[in-house]
Amino acid sequence: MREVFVLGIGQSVFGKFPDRSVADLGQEAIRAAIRDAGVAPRRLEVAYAARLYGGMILAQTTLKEIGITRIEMINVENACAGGSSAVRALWKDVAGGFYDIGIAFGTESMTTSPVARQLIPPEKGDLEGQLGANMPGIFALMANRLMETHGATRRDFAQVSVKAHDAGALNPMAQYRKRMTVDEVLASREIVDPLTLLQCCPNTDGAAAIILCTAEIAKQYQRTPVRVMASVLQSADYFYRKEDLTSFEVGARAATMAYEMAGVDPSDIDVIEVHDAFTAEEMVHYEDLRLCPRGEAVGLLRSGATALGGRIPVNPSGGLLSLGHPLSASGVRNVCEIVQQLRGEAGERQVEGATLGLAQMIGGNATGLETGACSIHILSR
Amino acid sequence: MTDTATPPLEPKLLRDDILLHSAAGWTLAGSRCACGHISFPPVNTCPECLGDLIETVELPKTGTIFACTTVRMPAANFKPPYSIGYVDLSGGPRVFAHFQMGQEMLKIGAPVRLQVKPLWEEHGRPVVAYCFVGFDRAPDA
Repeated sequence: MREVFVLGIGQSVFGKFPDRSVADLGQEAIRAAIRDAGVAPRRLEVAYAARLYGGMILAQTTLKEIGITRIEMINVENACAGGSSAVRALWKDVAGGFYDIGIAFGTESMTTSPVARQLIPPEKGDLEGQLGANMPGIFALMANRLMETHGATRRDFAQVSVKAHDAGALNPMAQYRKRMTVDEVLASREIVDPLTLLQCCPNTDGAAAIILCTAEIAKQYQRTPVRVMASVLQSADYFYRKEDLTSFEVGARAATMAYEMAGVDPSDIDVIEVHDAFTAEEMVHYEDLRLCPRGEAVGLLRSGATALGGRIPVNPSGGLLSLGHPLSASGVRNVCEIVQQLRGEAGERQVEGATLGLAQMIGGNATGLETGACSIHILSR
Repeated sequence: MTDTATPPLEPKLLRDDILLHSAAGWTLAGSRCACGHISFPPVNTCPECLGDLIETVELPKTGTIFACTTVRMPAANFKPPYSIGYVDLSGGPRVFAHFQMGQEMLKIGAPVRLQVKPLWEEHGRPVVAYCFVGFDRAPDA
């Protein structure tokens, strides 16, 4: 396999833009990535477009406005892991020698999606969905178990949101740049017990894009080469095999595979981005990524180790909670955040001296499965 | 046009494969494979051994709450607040649950029992599905 490098990254503005199409948002991110890479658009040999709520041939309809046609284009869906699945697919193309340079992007308009203003339900006709299951509900049940098994409290869950917003306030690309206290988080409207409104990711429209290439091309263009050390995508196991809701088997499995592929240890990682659509899950990811031993995630959060300035900052971007969560864009966007951190271009939210970073996304919900997919990328400079 | 009052619509089952009715009343329908694995909702192929010697069995009607939460936003079929979670059936599998019981009883470890009845309406037609209720409430009988 060939070494793969990040040549360019780009993000659109994140927020509520019901008048903008997914293609329009995607173009903003793609133009930014092309500008960042410094390559001609027609140099790109392959494109992957991720979207959960989008139309037909989104890659083609987005890229035609940028002058890109007549290359291999693939449209990808994998719930919240859709964007990172597109990155993974592009990585395989470059690592495997099929193409030397390509683009992956994710774009989503949550405000105009069929689930706008709803708690995201499973697919129509799903048994658990018919009985009232939805995304925040599933994560609230995880919170319920964390309180039982880990001694987690409502204040701990709220603290995850406080931490995210502290970081997001420093990110000019974040949807909500407002600091808040634990009490303010807890006083917001109840959504699904014990999770309040400010513990749920907002409805967000936006897009992100990344250009990957070979070492040869990277050498011609790059200021600070960032290498993709590991790219992993795994599907989830049956729900019945789960002992408890306090771990994602697929999350732990993907982490083990990624650390092995990169040849690194969890303790080597300097900065991490995870799926924090709902506060409680962040603590589960700490343990699945082996940032601490099983059972000690609450202690890790309380110690401040995962805040900016701590031993292992998690979600310095502000995470999905503060930065916003256009579903299929997020998996691209959080790889881009790690790239910015490793380049030393993260401004006020920079993790000093970061040389190794990890981006994780997880998503999907259906009767009989623990979740849908988990993707992990490890990058280094 | 008709001048007679519209008769109430007959209730319909949410799905025809998840519930069984016998002299003992309603139960959830499980799939028991020759290997011993029990699935709910029912399956055609055992996820454990990939066998297809599947027998439909009545699942236990009682269990305990493994996890629970109350949703405070509307869903397609429910107005808030409504409660969901998982129930460990007595000696059986863990199943997703819709709860109809008081908040004071809705706790991990609380004993519950199955109830099958119309839970919502689709175009005016009651839809019969399952939920779990606490033990201090008289059965609807």
